Amino acid sequence: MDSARLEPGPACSRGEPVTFRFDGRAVAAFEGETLGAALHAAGERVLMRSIKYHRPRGLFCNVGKCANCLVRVDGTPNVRACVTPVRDGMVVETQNAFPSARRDFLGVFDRVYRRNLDMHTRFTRPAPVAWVFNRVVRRMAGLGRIPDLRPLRKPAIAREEVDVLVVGAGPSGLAAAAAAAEGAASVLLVEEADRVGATLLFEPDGVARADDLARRVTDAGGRILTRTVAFGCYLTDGKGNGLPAPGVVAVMTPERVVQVKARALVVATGYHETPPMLPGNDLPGVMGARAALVLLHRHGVLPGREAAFVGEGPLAARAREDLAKAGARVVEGAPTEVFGGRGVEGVVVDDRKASADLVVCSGDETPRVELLQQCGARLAPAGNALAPVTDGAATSVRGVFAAGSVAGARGLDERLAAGARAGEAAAAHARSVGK
Amino acid sequence: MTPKCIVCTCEDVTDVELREAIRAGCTDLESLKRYTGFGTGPCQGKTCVTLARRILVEEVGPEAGAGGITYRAPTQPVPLRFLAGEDAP
Repeated sequence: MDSARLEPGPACSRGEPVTFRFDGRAVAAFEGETLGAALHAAGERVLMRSIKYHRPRGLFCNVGKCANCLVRVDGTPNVRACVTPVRDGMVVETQNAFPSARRDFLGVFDRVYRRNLDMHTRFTRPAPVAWVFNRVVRRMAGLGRIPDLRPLRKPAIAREEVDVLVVGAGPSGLAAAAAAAEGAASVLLVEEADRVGATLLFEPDGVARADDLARRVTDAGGRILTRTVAFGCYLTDGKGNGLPAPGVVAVMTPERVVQVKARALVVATGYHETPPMLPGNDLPGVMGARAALVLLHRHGVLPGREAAFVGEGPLAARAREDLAKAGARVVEGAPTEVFGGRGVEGVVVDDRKASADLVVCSGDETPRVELLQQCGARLAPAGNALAPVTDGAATSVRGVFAAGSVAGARGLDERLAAGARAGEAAAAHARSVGK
Repeated sequence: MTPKCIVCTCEDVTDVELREAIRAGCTDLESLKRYTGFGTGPCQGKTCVTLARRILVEEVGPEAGAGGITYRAPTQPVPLRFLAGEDAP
């Protein structure tokens, strides 16, 4: 089904052809693609089975956040297919399924427990049944098998001090880093994707705009690390002594962990996508609007041929327009149910079944507040989620700033402006507490 | 597949399970999480917490949505060998 691949656009980095194996089957792919994109293009939508009911799962968030695409890669379990670059000769296996994710006999649990399996009461009495059941469940439980043994390199943990650390290189993070660097601060910008830009790359001139902003950062002496994720904010020094916020931010590059001590922290982490609240909402083929746009723009892979839409999140209109432009048929109306076997086969709209192979959802975005919460920043309800309480770019914690969609900014211009304000404020704060 | 509405995809927690737990007395997000196990899988609540809060607000009322769950570091999986590395002097 190679026809799912489109002409590569400017944000697409399609390289030389490679081949890898997926549960023994050869899959043709291109360098620069992720496993997730290559498998989607090859029509392989079932990437794993769920932990309890063994329901089929596939790409949902497509940015390494959800856990619906965990596979075993070259002997390492629980690797996220959606953010793992393909390499020639890779051996990819599905896990948590017998015999394979495509056809998993343990899927019988989904049929037996049609409504749900209540682990607090099921098989707890009489005692002998509980004893047997516990043994069976312990054998079946867990996520994947332990890794193949091999010698491990243990890279030293590095340390670094900067004036301003910016987390996330979407439009607001890029604008923040550029403004902070031009405000004469030493700046480190970390981005977990393989290039900067994030949702800016979906805009018609987005690649050029992202690269221009990145150039402003580096021209002013700032540094950018891609494939680097900030995974925690620690307010102690490891010896039991408290540190003032933002404390130590731990970031992971592909090579090592770096402890970053920053005078000011700009959190521009954006949001997580959330599935729609409908029956069948976890079927392969249900994915976030951003996830679909990542497939389309970053990989030149058509996410589906018949697309239904749920919700009106920040990227809903863009996804609708770009998918239609790429040749997908838009299923009109608001779905109330998703149905299918090993993937989406259709949706129910106005009590009528309509054929579909893709359901694009948005509208219940979760601001990505993990680091902010760990810094101690105050959060308050915003819609169904929590968002930081901000005054301009400042959070309730001195030296910690929030910019972009994590702080409720909508639209590209607003996010760019919010980023610039946060970068200026962070640079000013760093100067005021400087040496 | 059966038409389940899965709120927490990591731990396979359905909307029915959450609503029953709320009626059984788990009327804040943290209790609901501890009872049903939502948000405790490999994604650590990134994908499900907003849906869980939405259900809680529907069942209990807007005041129930004020709380959150605690996001502990590491927020992303980190290979143990990276953490076992020699600390820089």
